[in-house]
Amino acid sequence: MSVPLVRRNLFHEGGKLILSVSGVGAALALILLLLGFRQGLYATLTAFADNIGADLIVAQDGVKGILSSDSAVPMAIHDDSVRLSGAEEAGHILLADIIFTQNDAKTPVLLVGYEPETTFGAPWELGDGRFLQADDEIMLDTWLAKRSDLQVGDRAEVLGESFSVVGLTRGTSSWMSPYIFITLPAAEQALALHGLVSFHLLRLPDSANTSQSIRSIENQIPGVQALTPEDIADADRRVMATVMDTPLNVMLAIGSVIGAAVMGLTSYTSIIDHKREYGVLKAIGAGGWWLNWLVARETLFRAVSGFVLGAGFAFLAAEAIMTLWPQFNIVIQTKDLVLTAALTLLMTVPAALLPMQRLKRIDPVEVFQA
Amino acid sequence: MDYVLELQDVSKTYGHGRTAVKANDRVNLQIQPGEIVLIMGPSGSGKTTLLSMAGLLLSTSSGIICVLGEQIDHASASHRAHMRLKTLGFVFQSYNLMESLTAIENVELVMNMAGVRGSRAKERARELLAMLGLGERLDHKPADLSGGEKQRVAIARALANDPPLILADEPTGNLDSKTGQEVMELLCCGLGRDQGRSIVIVTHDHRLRSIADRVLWLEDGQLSETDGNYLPEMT
Repeated sequence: MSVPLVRRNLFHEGGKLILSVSGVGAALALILLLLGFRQGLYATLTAFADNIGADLIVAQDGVKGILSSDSAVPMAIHDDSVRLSGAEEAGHILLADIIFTQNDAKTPVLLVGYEPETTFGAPWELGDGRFLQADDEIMLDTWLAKRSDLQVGDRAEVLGESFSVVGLTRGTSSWMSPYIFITLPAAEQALALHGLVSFHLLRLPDSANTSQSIRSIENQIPGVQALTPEDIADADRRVMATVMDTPLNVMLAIGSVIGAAVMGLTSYTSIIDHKREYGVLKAIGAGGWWLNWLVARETLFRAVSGFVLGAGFAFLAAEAIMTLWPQFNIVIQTKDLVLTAALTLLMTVPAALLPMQRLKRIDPVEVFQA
Repeated sequence: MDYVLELQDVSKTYGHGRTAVKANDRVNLQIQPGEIVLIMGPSGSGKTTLLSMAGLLLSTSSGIICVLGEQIDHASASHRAHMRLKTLGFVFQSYNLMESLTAIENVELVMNMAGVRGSRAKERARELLAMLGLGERLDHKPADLSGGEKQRVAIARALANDPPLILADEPTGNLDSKTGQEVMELLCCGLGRDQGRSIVIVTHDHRLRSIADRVLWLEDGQLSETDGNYLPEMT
């Protein structure tokens, strides 16, 4: 076994090690949180489509997604939709972006009018209370209820109509815009829309040919198109990606540069601090490769320790953020951890090269100067 | 005969043109096995430059340097580093120990660098430190050692790879006279001459003349032999 020079050097000045590892950890935690934020964003963005309960969604022609465009189709096509698709169950929802006002707090929300007697478009996770049973009842996203100081049993006003809060829902905050749920008739009344719905929702029998059903509807009912929930989710994701991916990727790049810079600077500073000792090692006979390997291992140790610390911090921070601000959903996946670990290893390359260059310039003759 | 170290007409000039300074001028030096040579001279006379060239740390402007019969002055940096590791030991005025390592680890490290690891390196380090009277201080870090103890650790480190030649730069410069004398007697007699090892010492310390086989005087970059009894002013 050799003298553990790397470990000794690193732990000789514990304070500096903690600072450098914390710096690297903070940068990596930022990267992980951003990745988790993006993943959480997409997860909540498509949560409604993912939980809509239908195999086919009949929308106005040209509409690609739920969140990215408004759809209006006549209620009158109900029978034709069912007949042409061979659906075994059908329902309808009405969606509208509105401003929810309570106690002077204004919040943009997505109003969902659904039919409680069907399983389509209902909230998918109940936090408190119960589901809708009557037209004067409302279910609110938990975060929205908290923000609006509303609880089960309180009364809330939507578009001039008064509703009784009967349930609080979870996972129903699509990025910054939470959902509220009322019955379809109540939504028609509040929005003054009669004979129109946003989407017809169809459940097909197991034996059904989805493509055939889509073709039948689109060929025979003018002005509509049939989409699967996956089509809708993909369209919404694409819309969000065009808005969010560039700034998020820029922030990820900044986080990576900060991480590499912190690693590089701490390694560089360590070389400067121990310049004389490295000079002694060179004078004694340490070769370039041996010294570079020393620097590489020190940098790698800081990077790996920073990654472990950063990952731990990211998970804790994500939990804390979601507790304090439930409208944010942060999902740190294994693939993000692997990606960040790979990024960490990649960052050690430039981080080690700079101090290696400095090390190369240390003149061993200096050790003879007292 | 193969000298341990041989310098033939070695010169070193810093700078160019009108600003050029000649630190060493056609220096000739031969060190025989087991020989202890003292190089003295006033400050700025070129002693450190000479030692740096002899230690393969600094290239010459002209002349030839041979270590164990091998001409080395134009060898590659990696070969010179290898030669330093295997054939030379260094003792510095300010000890230059690794502060993060214990006494025994400081000695082991140079053996590790030369490819000797594990219990073999540890045993040799332990043995050397015990011979230098540090058997009880193996696990102490430099910060916990006195100046004399640090210099003895530095000597053990210089001897770790069993080099035939030790180069010492003002080895007693930071030690009181009694400790300095003790340390140098250990290095030169017990671990030097008696084991056939050559030692070149650059110093201002006149008291070391008694342990040297030869005393050389370096002034204005030129080296001359003295009998050691009379030395010019060291100013």
